[in-house]
Amino acid sequence: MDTFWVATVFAFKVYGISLFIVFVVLAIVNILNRFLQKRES
Amino acid sequence: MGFLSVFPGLELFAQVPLITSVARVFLILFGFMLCYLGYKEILEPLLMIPMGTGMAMVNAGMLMMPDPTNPLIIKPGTMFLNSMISNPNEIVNSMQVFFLQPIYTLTFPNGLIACLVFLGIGVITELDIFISNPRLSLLLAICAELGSILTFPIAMAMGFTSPQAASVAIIGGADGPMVLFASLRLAPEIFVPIGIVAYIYLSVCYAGYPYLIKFLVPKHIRGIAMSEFVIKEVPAAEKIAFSLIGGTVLCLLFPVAAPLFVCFFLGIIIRESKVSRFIQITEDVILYGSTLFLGFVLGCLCSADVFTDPKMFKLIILGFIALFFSGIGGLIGGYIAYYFSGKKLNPLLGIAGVSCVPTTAKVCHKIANEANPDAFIIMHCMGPNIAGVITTAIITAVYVTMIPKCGF
Repeated sequence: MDTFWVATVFAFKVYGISLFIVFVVLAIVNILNRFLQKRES
Repeated sequence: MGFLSVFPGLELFAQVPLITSVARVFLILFGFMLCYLGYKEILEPLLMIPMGTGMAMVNAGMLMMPDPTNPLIIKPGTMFLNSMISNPNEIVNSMQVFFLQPIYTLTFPNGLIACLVFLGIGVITELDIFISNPRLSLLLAICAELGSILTFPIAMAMGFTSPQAASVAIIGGADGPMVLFASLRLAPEIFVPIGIVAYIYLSVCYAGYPYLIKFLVPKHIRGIAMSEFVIKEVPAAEKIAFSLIGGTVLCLLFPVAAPLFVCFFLGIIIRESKVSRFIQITEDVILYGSTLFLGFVLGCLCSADVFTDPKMFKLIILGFIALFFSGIGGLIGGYIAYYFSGKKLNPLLGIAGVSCVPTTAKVCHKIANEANPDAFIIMHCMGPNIAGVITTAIITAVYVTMIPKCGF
């Protein structure tokens, strides 16, 4: 049972790191979108 | 000389244990069924037809052969391939005997086949919807990764080691090349059964998710047409810039998964650069050629001894759990977006976040269209679908990087 909980904590750590990277990707897209909107206007 | 000795394939049924013979007959029939379901388009035909053909014929075409590692030992084998050898000399010898051995040895263990499929997926990927609404697409896609997270501790509790558990958990991302890549990197000893389970289940998504959707989403919500949501056209330059910057950042963060990232983003750049000859060769030859051989070789790896392995049963259960939780996670994300949008967004988009491109997007569109003939949501579904490929690649990269350092 210990293994299960240790693995659960690890899996959610993986999820947390992935979420952080997703925010990085989102930031890249948002910066590109804003840059393009500025250039169009 | 007995009658059966004229037909060594038949004779072998009497020479191997009964359980193996029964498993062979079952797999031959199962191969026929996969071919039929693929032909009828109930399951994904691109994979199921070569896979079913390989599965049926490899289990029929067995004969007693000398073991490549020790010619004095005679055991059941096939002329298709012997995946278990690792010594370079034996590999060279085998490549001259087993007819699929060159393709298997030169493209599977190094992950090349997964990367080629990914390059092709990049070329057919339309980024407009993802870039025009990245927040929604990524929210839905990350929710639809629930199976990739929850399956890991369950697999550990069922007795798998952490690298094996992570490889199985990636099935929840519903991305075949990613599962192959992760299992080859983390747990090559169970790559064959994981690959088989993953590809069979990915096809089952096509048939199974509609029931999950109909069970959890009422008809009037399934039929939301999303006519108020306009899809903006994104200039090719922005898509190329995103691919270059995004790909470079992801390669920098996770060099272990760099082959996958580079192939996927290179595919998108080829598409958006409009180099027609590259597009043609990548889409028509590389994508479909590697998909054909991927399905066929996986089918040929489905011999009776793989299926009678006790681990296989556990993998079948875990594969189901992974895709079930990912579907549930996707729908939870879909419902969150539905309420936040003032009940204007169709929550089925959440299921499209399960990144089986474009199967889950097609499933969602079909179900929405059945509930309301005016609902044409396929283009909206492609945003979370593509975001799902990116989030699955990220989760795979995090697992592949962190598992060797996790210490259990």
